[in-house]
Amino acid sequence: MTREQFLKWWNPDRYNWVFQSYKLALEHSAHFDIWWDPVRYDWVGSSWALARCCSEYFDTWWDPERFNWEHSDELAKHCSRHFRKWWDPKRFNWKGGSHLLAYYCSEYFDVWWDPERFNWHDGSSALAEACSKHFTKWWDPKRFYVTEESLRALIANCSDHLDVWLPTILDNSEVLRMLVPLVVANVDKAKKALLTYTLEGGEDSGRTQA
Amino acid sequence: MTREEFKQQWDPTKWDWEQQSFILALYYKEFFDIWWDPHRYCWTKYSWYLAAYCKEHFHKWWDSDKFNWDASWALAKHCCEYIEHWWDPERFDWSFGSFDLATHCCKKFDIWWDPKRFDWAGASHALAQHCSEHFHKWWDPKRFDLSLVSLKALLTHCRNYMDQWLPMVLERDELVLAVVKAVLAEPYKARRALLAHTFEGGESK
Repeated sequence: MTREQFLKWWNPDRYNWVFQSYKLALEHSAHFDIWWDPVRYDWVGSSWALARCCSEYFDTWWDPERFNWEHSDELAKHCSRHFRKWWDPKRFNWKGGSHLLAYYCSEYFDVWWDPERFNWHDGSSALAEACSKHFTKWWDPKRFYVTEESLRALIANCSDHLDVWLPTILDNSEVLRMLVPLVVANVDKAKKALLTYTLEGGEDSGRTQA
Repeated sequence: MTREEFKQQWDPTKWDWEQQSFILALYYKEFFDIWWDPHRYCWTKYSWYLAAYCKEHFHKWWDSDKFNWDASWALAKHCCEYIEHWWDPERFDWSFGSFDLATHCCKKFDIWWDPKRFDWAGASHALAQHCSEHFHKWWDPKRFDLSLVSLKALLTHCRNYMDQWLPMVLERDELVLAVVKAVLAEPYKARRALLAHTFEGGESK
């Protein structure tokens, strides 16, 4: 919808603000300056849409008292460049947004990091993937939530700290607990095996994994 | 019961051979020469009792045509020392007996080994566990059935052949591949981690 069309169509008195505020943000963010009304906007149900679609007007709409902090995961994901303006550790939705903090706000890691509040269950992979620079600050073998995904993230992104996290992997995989000492004791044989695997097209052949 | 008492009481014509042949093999094997009658013994049902309990009389009872080859796993399990006498790859029940061959007849490996007949799906782990000294003869990555159990057997018993079986493991498990690569990239760090892990009791958890 062009600006002219929107102006013709738009009638704030007839608009269903209660149920459709989010649609304004979602579909008409380009005309934010026309429709924005902090008093009529449905903050409770539609705060998420402001964060998601109107981050360029952040300074205009941001109101920490009105914003529904249940939706603050959207702030972490879409308004990371305004992080310092909105960050409030007591109000932030740690349960739903910890992993998004790790993914999108890693440059402010030292500001937001709180091992007690962080949702380790959902956010461990994201820490390993996006906050490897801060590994020594966040690593806690008792809290890191081990899944295949989080282990892969550790291996792929935190190889500099292999000596720190390897015991955790060994504690969580019987096979690796047996295999890794064997590999370490027979580095040459293991390298030969890896070479054989690679030469046989293991990594590039796109063979179906069993 | 003494030998004399058994001899006095024994009446083959009154014995229910169809239902109770196994009792003779099970409880009266020391009087085998008294009760044994290959024409009356119920071979169909109780061949495996002979193999399991009367192996010391093997040469007296063995009859390849009467023995029920469905029970040939029992020959592999209990009568390996006589394998030269009973072995018949055409009659042997490979699907039930491969495990027992690998487990109990590893010393006679060259007699029975046949990669085309062996039940790889059911007994690969037994090969790895008991026949590691013949690894070069049986190892076939296209046939070996890699599972958690068989992998543990490789890890435990075929460590010397790691360069041969590890590629197969790497191909099957992306996580293992990733860990092995990481460890090989930093072998000294890995060694240090292992040492710390051992000291912290990680291995005994």
